[in-house]
Amino acid sequence: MIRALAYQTSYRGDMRLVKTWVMRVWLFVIFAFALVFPISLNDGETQLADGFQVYLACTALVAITGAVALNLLTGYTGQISLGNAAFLAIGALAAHVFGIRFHLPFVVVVPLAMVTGLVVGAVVGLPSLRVRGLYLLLATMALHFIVNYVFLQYQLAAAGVSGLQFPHPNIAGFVLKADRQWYYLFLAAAVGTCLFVKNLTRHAEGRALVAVRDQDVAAMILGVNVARSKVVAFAVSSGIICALGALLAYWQGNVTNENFPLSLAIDYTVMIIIGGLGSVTGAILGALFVTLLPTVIQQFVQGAANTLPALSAFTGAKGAIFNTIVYGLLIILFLILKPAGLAGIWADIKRFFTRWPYSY
Amino acid sequence: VTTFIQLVFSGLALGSVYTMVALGFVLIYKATEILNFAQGNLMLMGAYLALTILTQFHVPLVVGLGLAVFVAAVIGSAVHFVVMRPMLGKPLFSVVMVTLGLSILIQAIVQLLYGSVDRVYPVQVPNRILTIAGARFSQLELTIIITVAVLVVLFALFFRYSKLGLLMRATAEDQEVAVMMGVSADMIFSVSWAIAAGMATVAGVFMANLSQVNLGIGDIGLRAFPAVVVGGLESIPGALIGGVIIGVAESLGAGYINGSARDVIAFTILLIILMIRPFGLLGQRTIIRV
Repeated sequence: MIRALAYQTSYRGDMRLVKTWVMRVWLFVIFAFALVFPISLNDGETQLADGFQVYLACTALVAITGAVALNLLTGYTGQISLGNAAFLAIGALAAHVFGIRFHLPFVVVVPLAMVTGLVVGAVVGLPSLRVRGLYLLLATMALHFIVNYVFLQYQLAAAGVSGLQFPHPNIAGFVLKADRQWYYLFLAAAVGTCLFVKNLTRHAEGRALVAVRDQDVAAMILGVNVARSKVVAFAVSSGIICALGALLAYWQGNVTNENFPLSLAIDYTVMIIIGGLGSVTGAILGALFVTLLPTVIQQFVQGAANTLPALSAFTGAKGAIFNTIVYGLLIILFLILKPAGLAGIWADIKRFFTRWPYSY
Repeated sequence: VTTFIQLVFSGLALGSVYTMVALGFVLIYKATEILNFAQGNLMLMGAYLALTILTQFHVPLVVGLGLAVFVAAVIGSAVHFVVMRPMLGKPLFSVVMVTLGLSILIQAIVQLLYGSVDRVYPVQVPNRILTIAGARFSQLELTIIITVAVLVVLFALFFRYSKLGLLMRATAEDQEVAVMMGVSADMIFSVSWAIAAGMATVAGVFMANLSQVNLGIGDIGLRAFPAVVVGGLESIPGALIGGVIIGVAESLGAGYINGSARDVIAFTILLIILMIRPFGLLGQRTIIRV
């Protein structure tokens, strides 16, 4: 029998997490690669470059976790938010209050940060019952500036301009220090978040969120508690992001309010837009794309500058600006030309091969 | 009391600048229902355009400003045709994100062309300190308030009595009917973008004179959002009132609490307004219940 598409013949099959064996193999390969990635880099003379690669991988994993959590709110529930940086800041703040002020151990601090996020997220989600669309966007933007101010005041009171200091966390005698060790923690966080969101969307609760996004009136008539769904989406999404903020604070060791600018919140939104709204795969692809883009562009420009010296103007300090220009252009081009994002492109490619040669 | 009056006065000057930016927001929102996040960086672009024209051609301030406004208007309408037109009918979020992308792009291009160094305008607006009844006022702030007042009146007259203004109001009122009556929606949209960019330029030049010419000007544009929401997203008098309220509140907050309280005050007002009257003080009430 020729397999046309990955059609399912049973409800169980349609609900399965991994639908085809090809996907299963791919996931296994990707996961195995992710596990051995830091080990595969040798500690030889290129230590510095390797260190950067692991650092970059950590950033990418953080971005994936944050983007998938934000996607739960914006992509699945349709609640536009520019509050991601604010929630990361709240997480860092909670980590400092619980971990440094109250001397609680790291393994307790992170769940506590998550609980803080759940509570704050639920409170912040309440306006979403009243305002929607653009107004919600503006409300979360207001939240961003208010949190930033509160963070600054706390920081000045607790530590001064140098920023909040965090020690290397100690998990049952094991001290997390190097990026390689952090990498596995972030990998666990990313995988856990992806699995959680993916599972949630297979669950009645998650499908209620999608119903609220698509047609809130219809969802209400079908018995979905719209208000509850919105608040749950806000709470869960910000809970994850706050926990991530706490991890981030410990990882960086020194955090100021300038670590959480509005542009960070915009970056996260761009990730899920470029990746494709309402899809875990999309959020992952978008996060990878946005975090790796500057490095890739610089590698490319460096390479091109060797043959075309005129391009060397775009390396170094100017390179960062050049990256930003490409970034801005990409956002605009993606939205105009490919609104479904990278996930859409991926689906197109798959369709091309599964249907080839009868591509219509 | 004199401190209070002085603070209110500089608040009015700041509010005038916000009003100019807010008018641009409102105009674009009325015409196209797009919330333009790039307005702040259009302001940045305008400030640098004027700077370039003034330093390169050594023309009088008014001529240079006029030229800069014209160039900005052309760029604004180009933005409509190149970037915003393909986005017609796309979901709200995507359109907002496009303006954010545009904003990032404009800022990066300005940075590439001019670097991140602070600059000062070569032609200074006369800036002496006037003392009236014991309170000290800066002449620059007075100039800004008067100029903005004149511009707002001119714009109101244009919007109320000119043919183009009538067409713009018609399109804002009911786009379909206006288009059926032979109004070119495309033309109206591009004119709205052009006027908004022109206003942003004026605001940018004033802001640059109040402080200095640097990349921070674009972020100040974001603070005009509270002004727009306080007034009501589709209300032109609302932009005026909102701008003044936010400007004065910020100035008082900065004067009496501390300098960094500025942003918070504006955005706290925004949050409160969103809770109580989401449609703003003068906006249209639309009822949605779920």
